[in-house]
Amino acid sequence: MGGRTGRWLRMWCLAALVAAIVVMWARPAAADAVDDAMARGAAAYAEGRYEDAREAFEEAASLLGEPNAIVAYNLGTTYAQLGDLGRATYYLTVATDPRTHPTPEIAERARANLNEVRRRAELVAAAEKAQLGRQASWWALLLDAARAPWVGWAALVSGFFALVVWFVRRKIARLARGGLGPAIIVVASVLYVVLGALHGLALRADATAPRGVLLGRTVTVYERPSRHAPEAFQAVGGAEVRIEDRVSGFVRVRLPGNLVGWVPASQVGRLDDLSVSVDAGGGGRSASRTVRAGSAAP
Amino acid sequence: MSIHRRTFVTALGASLFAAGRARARELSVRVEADRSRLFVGDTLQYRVEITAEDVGRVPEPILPSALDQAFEVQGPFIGSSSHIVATGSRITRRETRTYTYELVPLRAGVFDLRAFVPGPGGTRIASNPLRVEVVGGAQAMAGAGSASAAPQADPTRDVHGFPKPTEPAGDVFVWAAVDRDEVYVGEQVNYTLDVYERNRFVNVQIRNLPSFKDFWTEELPEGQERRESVGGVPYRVHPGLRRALFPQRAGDLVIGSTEAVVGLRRIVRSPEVVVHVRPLPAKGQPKDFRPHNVGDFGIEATVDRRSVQQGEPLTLTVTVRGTGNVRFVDPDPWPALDGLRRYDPTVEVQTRVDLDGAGRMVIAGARRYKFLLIPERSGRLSIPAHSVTFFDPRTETYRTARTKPIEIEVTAGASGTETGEPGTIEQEGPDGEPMALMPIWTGDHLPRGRVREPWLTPKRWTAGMATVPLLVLAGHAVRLARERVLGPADARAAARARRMRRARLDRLATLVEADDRFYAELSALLHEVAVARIGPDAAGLPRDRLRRRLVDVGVPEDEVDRFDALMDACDAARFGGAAAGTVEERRKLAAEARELLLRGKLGRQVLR
Repeated sequence: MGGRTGRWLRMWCLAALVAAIVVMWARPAAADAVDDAMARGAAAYAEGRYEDAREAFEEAASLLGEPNAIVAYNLGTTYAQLGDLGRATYYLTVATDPRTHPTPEIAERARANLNEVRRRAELVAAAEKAQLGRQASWWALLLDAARAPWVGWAALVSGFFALVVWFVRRKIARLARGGLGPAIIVVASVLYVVLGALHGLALRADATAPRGVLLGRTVTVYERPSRHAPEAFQAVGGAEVRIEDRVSGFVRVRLPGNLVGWVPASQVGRLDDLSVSVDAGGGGRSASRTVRAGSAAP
Repeated sequence: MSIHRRTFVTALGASLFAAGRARARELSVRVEADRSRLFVGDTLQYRVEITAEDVGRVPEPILPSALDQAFEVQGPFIGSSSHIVATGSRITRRETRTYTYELVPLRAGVFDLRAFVPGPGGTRIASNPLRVEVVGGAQAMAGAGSASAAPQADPTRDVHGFPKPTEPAGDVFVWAAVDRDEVYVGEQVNYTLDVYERNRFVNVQIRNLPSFKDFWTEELPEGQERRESVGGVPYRVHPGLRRALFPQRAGDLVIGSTEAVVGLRRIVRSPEVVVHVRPLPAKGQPKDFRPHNVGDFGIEATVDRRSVQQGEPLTLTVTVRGTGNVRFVDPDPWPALDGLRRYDPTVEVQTRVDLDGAGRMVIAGARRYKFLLIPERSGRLSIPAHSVTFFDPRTETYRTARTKPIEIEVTAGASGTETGEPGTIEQEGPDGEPMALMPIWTGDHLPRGRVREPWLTPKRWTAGMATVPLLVLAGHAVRLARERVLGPADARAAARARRMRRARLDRLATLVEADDRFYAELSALLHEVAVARIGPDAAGLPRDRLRRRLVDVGVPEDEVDRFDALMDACDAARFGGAAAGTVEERRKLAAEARELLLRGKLGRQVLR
């Protein structure tokens, strides 16, 4: 019995050793390929070969297989140099997304470049009479601000704080006699209700109409989900939109200020799951696939 | 008598004439054509309509002799109809038969196309007269090609300058040709591919089109199906394809043959076509000349406004227009702009097919560049002339077209400062223009980590937010349940207080031994009972007001006196400096207090 147990133990140890060696060999190989692609991209960028830089950064993103703040930042900046303001906005926004682990420096650079891209998009909109979205209403701005995670945390903590104070006051008679207790409960309850309602509405808006970014320099927005439909308006790439519906390769988007129309799904990058849809055949009825923001470019 | 005879003869003749007229009305023929003037090779629709009443068999038409001599006849395509006509008491059956022919004139002339039908007694009934004029050869082709084209003098070429076949080659052949045998690199040459067929074939398909290697191609209108005489043999011509070709290199460039499949198995091939392409002359060629710039071009520049504020965008549109390979025409390098920031242009190309003076189809159009300009300083700024240099193959010279400089007035912006955002890192791009973008990340090793969703997901947040009211509701539910089971909370609190006071009263017996705590406890208990009897507002009242309030709430005065005496005894023992008394005295006080509180009205509802 003891001999059989020892044999099994030795086999398990051997298998674990082989697995560890495989894993240790495999990880540096992938890492080198990614770093090589990033180095090639950086060199091409420094020489002004932005198209080569884009290809190299996309190769690095594809090797990584999932969004990475630094790769997204380099891609976004390269797209900005290429004049593709839509993809530049999309990737720079991804680079600021906490899910992609941006360092403070990368996040700051990405925000700065986003501002610059936005400025250029405004110029393109002015020059080509394209839409970047009208002035958003105060309610839309309020909901946009209420989407921040700290608002959700504040509402949650306020609610539980009011609950705890109320409970303690009920149980400890000494605290129940006057003092700031009722005022604290009222203020915390108001914060719970108001912040909670705003944050909840913002989350609901994100769930029913996810956020996205129009890709390309300018995008034709149609009145119906067809390339043969009348053109509703021209939108500038980089315009932030809400994706309200999806029909056979087209998505219905709403720009700030209630400008609504249909665009091919391949021309919208989604910010909720960090993905862009790529038309396999280029047509409205063609099949499409979805790639993550850091894994490939449309 | 002679009058009678003459009258008889006249009447007989009239009746015979009337009978003949009546007979003739029973059979009639009518002809018509879709036009009265056409060209040799064109197709004429010729229709003969025979109408007969109460005739057993409708005779076939007798066609004019001109058809045999000057036309190729196809048909007839026969149609017929019949119906019953009631005229007064007479009912007749009328039958109409139509014969439709396609006539292709083989020579020019004016032809009488009147038809006939055989009448009674070997006579012929003639149709209405119909004259058709046929115009001859070269004029016919000019008319078929384009009304605006000039008459083609060369009979070996068609209206667009394509050479025509001169020898018939069986019942079907494929003809390929170019309109010019020798051109310069980048100069347009047109290619045509037509199928000539003697008979109408059911299925003729062109396959294996030439690849046009070494050419940039643009599609040209194919034209219409037509008739053409090749060496005196009439052919129906199906236009296959026409292309404008722009050779990309010098030398003898060969355009391969094309196959056409006739029916199921028969294959006919077009001849190969050779274009001799000459290099652009070196003499006078500017440095860095773009080889696509061959043709005849002009250039113009416009701005959407000439007066702007500093930092406000304006659009500069540079348009290169002309004939040639417009899609790839390239202006000269953009001039440097002083005081203006220029962004990458958007480019639009519009092409069309024009006819030149010789009737050749040429590619024309415009290539339009739209620049966004941002004035970086105020004052009077100048946009220098833009130019395009091209080779004109007609004059075989290099020419340069230029725009005029454009002046714009820039007023100071609202802030009066130069453009450019403070705090941003300005970089130099490869073209020397400033960039406001932050530099890319250039580390050696890319930090990486898995995408991590934030802990506070929408689901968790929703659950947490719902927990708060649920807990409140649960607390209320528990309280309601307790009240239902154990009674109202006030009653339970009052009972709890009564129990506690009763316990304190019972404990007095044990404190009798301890003099220092007995009086304090007794005094406190009496005071608490009195306050509880009066109400919460009695807390802190002096003794005399406490007494009055006790009387006010219905406590008998003797009990109030006893209460007062007990309180005095306690005060005397605690604060008066008197002796604390004996155990027996304290026991007596405790018994009095017990008697007062348990049996009197003072202790009712607050102690028992």
